[in-house]
Amino acid sequence: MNRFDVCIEVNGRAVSAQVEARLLLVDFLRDHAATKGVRVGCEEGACGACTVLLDGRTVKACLVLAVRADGSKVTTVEGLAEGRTLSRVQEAFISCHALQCGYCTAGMVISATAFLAERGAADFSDDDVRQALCGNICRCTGYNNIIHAVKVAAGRAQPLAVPESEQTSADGWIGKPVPRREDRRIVAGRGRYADNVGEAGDLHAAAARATRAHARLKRIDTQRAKAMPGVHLVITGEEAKAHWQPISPTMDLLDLKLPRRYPLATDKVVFYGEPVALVVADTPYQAEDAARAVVIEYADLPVNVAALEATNAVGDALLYPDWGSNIQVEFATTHGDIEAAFASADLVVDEHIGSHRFGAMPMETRVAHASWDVDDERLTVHASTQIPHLTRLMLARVFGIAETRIQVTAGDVGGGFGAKLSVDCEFLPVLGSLLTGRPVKWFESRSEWIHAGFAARDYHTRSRAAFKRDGTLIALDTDILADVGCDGAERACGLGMPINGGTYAPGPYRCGIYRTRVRCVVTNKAPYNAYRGYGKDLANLLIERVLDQAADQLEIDPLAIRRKNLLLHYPHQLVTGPILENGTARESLDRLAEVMDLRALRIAQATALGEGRYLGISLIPYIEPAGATFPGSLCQNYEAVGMRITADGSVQVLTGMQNIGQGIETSYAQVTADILGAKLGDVSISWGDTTAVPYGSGTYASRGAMFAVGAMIDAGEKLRRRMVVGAATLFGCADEAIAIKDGIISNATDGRTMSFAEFAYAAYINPGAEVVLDRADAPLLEAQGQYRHPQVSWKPDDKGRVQFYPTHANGAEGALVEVDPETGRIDVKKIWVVADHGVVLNELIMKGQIKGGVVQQLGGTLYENLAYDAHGIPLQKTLKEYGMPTVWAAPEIEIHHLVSRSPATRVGAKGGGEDGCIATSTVLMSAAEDALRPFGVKVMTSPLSPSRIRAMIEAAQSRDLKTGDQP
Amino acid sequence: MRPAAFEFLRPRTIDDALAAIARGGRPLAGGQSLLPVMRLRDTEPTALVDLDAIAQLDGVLRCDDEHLHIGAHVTHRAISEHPEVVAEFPWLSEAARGIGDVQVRNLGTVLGNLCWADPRANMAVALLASDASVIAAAPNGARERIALGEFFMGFRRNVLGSRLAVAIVVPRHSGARGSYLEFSRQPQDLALVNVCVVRQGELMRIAVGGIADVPVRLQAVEDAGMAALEHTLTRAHYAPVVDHHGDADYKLHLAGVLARRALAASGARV
Repeated sequence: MNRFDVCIEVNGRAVSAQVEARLLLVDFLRDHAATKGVRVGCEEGACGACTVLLDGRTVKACLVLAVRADGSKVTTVEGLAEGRTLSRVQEAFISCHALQCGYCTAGMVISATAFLAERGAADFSDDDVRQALCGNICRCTGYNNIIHAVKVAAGRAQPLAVPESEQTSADGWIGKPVPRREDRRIVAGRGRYADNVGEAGDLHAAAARATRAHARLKRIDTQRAKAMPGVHLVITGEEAKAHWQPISPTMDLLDLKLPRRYPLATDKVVFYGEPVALVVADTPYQAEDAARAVVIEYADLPVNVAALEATNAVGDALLYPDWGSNIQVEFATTHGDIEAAFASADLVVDEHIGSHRFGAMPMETRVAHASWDVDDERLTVHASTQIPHLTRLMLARVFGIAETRIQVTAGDVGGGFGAKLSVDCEFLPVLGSLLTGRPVKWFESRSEWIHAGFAARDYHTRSRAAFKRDGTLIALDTDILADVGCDGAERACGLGMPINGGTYAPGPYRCGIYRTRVRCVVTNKAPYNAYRGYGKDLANLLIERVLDQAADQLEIDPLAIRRKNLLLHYPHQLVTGPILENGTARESLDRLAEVMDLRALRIAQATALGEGRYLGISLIPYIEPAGATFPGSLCQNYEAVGMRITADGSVQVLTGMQNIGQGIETSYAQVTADILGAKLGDVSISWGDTTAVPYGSGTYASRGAMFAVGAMIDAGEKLRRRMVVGAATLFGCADEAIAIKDGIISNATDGRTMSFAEFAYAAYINPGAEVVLDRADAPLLEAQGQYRHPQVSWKPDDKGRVQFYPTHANGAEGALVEVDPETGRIDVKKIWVVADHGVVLNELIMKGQIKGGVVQQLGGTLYENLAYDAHGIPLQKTLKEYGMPTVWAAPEIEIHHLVSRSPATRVGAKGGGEDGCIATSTVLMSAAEDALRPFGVKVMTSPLSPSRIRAMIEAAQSRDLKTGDQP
Repeated sequence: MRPAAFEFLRPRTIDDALAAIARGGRPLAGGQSLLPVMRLRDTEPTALVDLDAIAQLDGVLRCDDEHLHIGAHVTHRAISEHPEVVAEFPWLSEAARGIGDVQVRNLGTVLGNLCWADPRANMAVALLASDASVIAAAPNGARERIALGEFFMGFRRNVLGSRLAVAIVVPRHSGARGSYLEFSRQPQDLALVNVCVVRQGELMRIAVGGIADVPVRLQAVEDAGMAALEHTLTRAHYAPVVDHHGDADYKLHLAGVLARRALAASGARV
């Protein structure tokens, strides 16, 4: 194959290499020019993470052949700063919290920079910014802050926060909108993402994957693949069985069934894209070539694509014949006399409600770099994960290596949202490294994630509700069927989602009579993983959609029927068990109506209707259970941190929580500064290394603000007591006279002070702990803090009920939409959220999390789809086909907070950040239905795609034609 | 994923390019449509023919008395911003602005978009309504003029064969008015259906993308007026592109809605 000499000037430096014609510019920049800020998020030029300036114009470096860029000048994100001085755009991204995971940021900053350079001093609108940035997809922020940052960089708006150095600790740091410490490295292009790990010369893994959804493997021919250039290893599932055990499950409770599958398929494949053979080669290009050369012969089996039909499957149609059915778990519970309640009702609402299949789709796919040290017999794995310690455990169980010989590290993670809470393909590069004795990297391509990565939602339900004439809810009866793909408990951990939906469906309402049945059925689709919202979205749909119907039929205002049924006082126990400890169910809804100016919106709606425009309004309460703990699962009721004050007086916190873009380096430092009385600038947070930090269950279920913070309080109080005793000893005063604040330890009796540095040096060295900490419980300024949430209870009460979620944030979300009845398009004009998470650790971050969640679920509800054909072949391969929301999809989002302190920790924080993913589907369905009320359209299932909305309108019109009614 | 290996040919003349094409090489213009499908390994050309180094091909956009000339290297970006195009053929600049995003428009070429021959390609629909032609170089050295109505052969297939498209010409008609509209899931996304209407006095051309395997002119409506729209846009006449964003009836319905709106936007009474 012909090779070409290429010389490209990258950020002012000439870089030369001899390359294959097929080498993409993005790989040249990352591998030859070492500009690793340029990122890869897709294959089809949709995500824009690889955006660079090529001779002054923005291009996607993944859609340019390096050979064609010969002689050009390229500017990457690394080339924007002048020395250590960031550009105005980079600074604005920090001051506006315009990044979370940061994976898209390098490309986004380049596009914004080019836009502002071309505009010069000219005026611009938000839509101009959208036009300029629509080739850059961000999964985290909901885009609002990015648009704002562009305006700030142009000097046309004020930053959302001032730098940490310009803020003061007057009333403590907790809650302050401190800009994130993570951001500087990320906006500069130096984020530490997993794909940056490794050296030239490392090997690369690729999987040969099934092209059938359900089939026996008749024969796998690896001969041609093995003979291809650069190939070191080709191994099939059957051959690999000697080297590993089946995948270690993420959960095993409630009599659920486990598939017990290996990371590579052995006897048969159960979903399209299931890995069948592992290839390891010198370059990713060669690994992909060889993976495609593996020949797989199949004997087809009946394919399950429809959830309901899969429940009745027998024989060869069973995914796992030893289960006897395709049901992975069934859960049912009844509270009260449901039949009598329905018999006595004035109104029964009976609706089929559903969410289609979509998922987390983080901008960074899964990446793992494995290195087996043959001398020391130690395994080092760097992964893009939410759970470093649990990854270590699963590696140990699958490979039979002691956990103490495994180190798992994780740097910046380009988005998780629940989908990086499991280990399956990550086993592949580890096997590759064990068998070749060389470091092996695996970088999942976007099409692999879309075909064989993780899905969520896909609920098919029936919700029946019994009402009195006055709108009083008497009873609720929900029946949930969830299509969990090939598995929701072993390769992935989505199985709890539908169960949460059934458990929390009564919501914040008084509903004493309730029945639910939840069935999770396996089909021949990709695995079912956790996704932000985790079934709380389903719970919200099940109750809120029937409340809207009841309001309609009883001719009660939708807000009034909710006020009528909302819980009266806290604590409020749901009939299914969970205790809503405190909150603002009513206040948040009322406040929402106020901030939306509901009265004015209704007038605008009526005016618009007169002009032939269809506006819709909705207001939906929600609850956000946080901090999941499930017996038999990776979700546990513990967390630990290490905290140390070093001899120079600086403070280090070591946590097993993983930074996935939620800003823990910043918010945890704020908490620690307040607990210890330390200077914020002296506190640093360490994470992402199982050999360095205490055991941690990881990042999921919005648990950090309770669990990590709880452990920080525990450790901080221990250290603070030692400081008080030590300082009193040094000052020769009573312990009670010691005050510690903002890095200064003072003696109230004579006003003398010392810094943390002075105290710590005294405690460690001169005179030393023997004197200074003589009266303390321990001789070092190091402590481990642990936390167990007191509001968890796994002991069933007399009705068999437990408390898996310790806290419940709550809120209300509203929308204004316009529907074009001719095309079926829903235009979301604005979203409002009133949220109560107890005490918020960092307002800037919290608001960012809410905005991001809203746009994620909005994207899922309106655009995203993981659909399959009748043979179980995915209909999408690319991000565009999947329907990732771009900056055009993001409406203005206005957020307000209420505060109900959590009684569980001294800080008073509950979990937060899933809000938008809980209520947004309901909010959009309800608002679309409101807009289309003149047509009599019901909107009960997603996706709310234009074609489906149009079909609903046409169905309603033909119904009206039959009955003679006119809309 | 990354593209499979291919031979990379860099002809310096049109004749050399034609020779490379004759050997099975696939022309590579901006690459913004071809490279993605190569990365997904949906297409594995044995050879690519890079058009960049051919001095006879140009990126010039110019108007003479009768025509707008669009050179082979003219990008979407260039045509969307060119003052004469914006003033005289606003539907062309509008269609170009609706393509992908800035990055794609910076590299993607108008001619490449035409040759890609996706039935929903913005420029294909807008240029079809503009009565444009492709100038193609034939292996015998001749320059052939192919009216766009005869240029598309099927889904992502054109009639070029062993020829190389070298330019586009669009006739200028004083007082022409037009409008390009598309319907996509999100703005700037691939259109499900797109419509371009161009009117010169009583004469009207309506091109529609997405309702057949090639962009089509609604001849019946052009001849008989909008009254013919209803019975023209039916499954008896058109088989829309199959995807999961709506069935045939929905897309034909959309085409009607867009046609009416585009006509209104072009100043006609509907």
